[in-house]
Amino acid sequence: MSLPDIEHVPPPRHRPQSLRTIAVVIYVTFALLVLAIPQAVPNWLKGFEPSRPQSLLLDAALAVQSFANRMGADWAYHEARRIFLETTGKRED
Amino acid sequence: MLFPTIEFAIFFAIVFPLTWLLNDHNTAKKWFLTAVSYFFYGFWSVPFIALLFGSSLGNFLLALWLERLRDGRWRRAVFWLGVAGNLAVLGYFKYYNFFVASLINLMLALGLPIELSFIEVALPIAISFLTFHALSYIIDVYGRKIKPTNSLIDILFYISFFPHLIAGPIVRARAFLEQTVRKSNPRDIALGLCVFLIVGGLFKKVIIANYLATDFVDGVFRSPEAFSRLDLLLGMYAYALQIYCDFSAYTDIAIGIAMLLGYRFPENFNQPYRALSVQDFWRRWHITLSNWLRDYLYIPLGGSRGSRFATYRNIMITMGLGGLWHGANFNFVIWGLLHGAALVLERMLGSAEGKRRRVPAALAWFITFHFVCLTWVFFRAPSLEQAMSYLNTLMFGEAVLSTTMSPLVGAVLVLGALTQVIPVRWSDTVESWYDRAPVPIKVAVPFAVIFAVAVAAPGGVPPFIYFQF
Repeated sequence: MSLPDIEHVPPPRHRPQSLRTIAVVIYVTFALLVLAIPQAVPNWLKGFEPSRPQSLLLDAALAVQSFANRMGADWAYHEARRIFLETTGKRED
Repeated sequence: MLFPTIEFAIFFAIVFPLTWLLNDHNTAKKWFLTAVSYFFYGFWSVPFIALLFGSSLGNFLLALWLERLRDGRWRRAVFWLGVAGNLAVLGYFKYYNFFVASLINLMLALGLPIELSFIEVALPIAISFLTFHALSYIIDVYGRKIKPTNSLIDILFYISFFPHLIAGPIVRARAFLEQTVRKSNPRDIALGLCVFLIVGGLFKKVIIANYLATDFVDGVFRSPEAFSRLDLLLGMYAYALQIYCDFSAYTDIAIGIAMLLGYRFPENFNQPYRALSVQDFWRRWHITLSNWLRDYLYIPLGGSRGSRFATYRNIMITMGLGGLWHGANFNFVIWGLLHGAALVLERMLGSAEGKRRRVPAALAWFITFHFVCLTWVFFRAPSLEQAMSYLNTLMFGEAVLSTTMSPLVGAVLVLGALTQVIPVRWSDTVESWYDRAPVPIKVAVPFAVIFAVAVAAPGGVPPFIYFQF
């Protein structure tokens, strides 16, 4: 076994995708995560110094969280987390 | 800004479309990616942005100077000036206090006490990696392997590009610069590979490395004498998997992120704990560092071209300095020298070449794996005394076969071990299937994995181990 030639990195063999498909995968995944785990962004924003932009972003994130809550989009996360904590005996930090 | 965080997700969500919108304007794209890379670096320390810029500018000018000089004494002098300059910056920030303390202790042992002052300075993050990137550039220019670029932005971009800036992989100047001369082709993005590198990296870091560290490894290394010999044995295995999952996660994500932006990085890990010899291990572990040390240190020292003694000496120097590169601590030097000694021993026995393998593969694997795990104790322990205390308790401690390892950590340990035994062709098959799958499946896969990681994640994300280097 010899070391690979790292002075040239050829493109891997793959089936090319359009940039649009790649963008859809990235942004739809992000959007689904924001809806499925909606408390993550507000919790993150609460860690910043209070300011006008922080307040605006936090309001928007809380609105998304409330929407996801009403739709029941975060149910799966809470149930799965509860089962994980029960099974492993761990606690929320 | 750590990769597995919301701020990085937002940062990338902004950088990705703007990068591709600028793709037809290659120079503007490079300026943009350099600016966001400086922003990324500035997230940790704004003052050290000047160091990053100064290093890049200095090496850019030095390379142009080297190109103008004819081969000879002057050119050699300018080259060594550049090498010394880069090493001086690294030495000042990373090793000054270590060398001062070592000198004071040495003189004290010789009965010649001296007084030297220490400096109080923060270690700039990523300094070892950016120094190696810069050195790679000027050494290749000096050796006339590459022509220096006349464009400052190329070097600013090469050294600062955020996916590799903090913890590698170490990308050769030639491999990177040849990708920057023209616009990127989105059809070169292997989406399946990117997705599996990124979500696999998140899983390895957030679940495997973090649980092993916080729920087991940190405790047994903090006070080894309080644990059973079985715990210390498991702690050694757990740390081996923790550092692999931590470091390979970072470079996997870096490779995936860079590819999504149109740039290819070399592979950095190849299931290192499958190695059948220490030489084989170094062909699978931190491959880009192994290559760097081979090409820029071991071969210039003479490599294996001289006598046997000279070859052994070159191996020991290379591995000792490779150990020291990891940190200003004798533990790292000993770790490197132990690997060097093992490489020398393998050469002596002729087993490294595979010509006359004297031991069955299973035994070769067993010996190699346990040697690597034992040497990780020096790497992990905060001091030489604690490393020796760990090994002493492991060998001669009370023979208690009970363990404090929880079932969760045990399960995570098994998952970590699976990363070493899953055949590589399986991941090729899955990536190929993913690339052919319809878009909803393409979205569902990363969503499901990240969702599962979030469900099982411990609170908070500790920094990657290699950030300190």
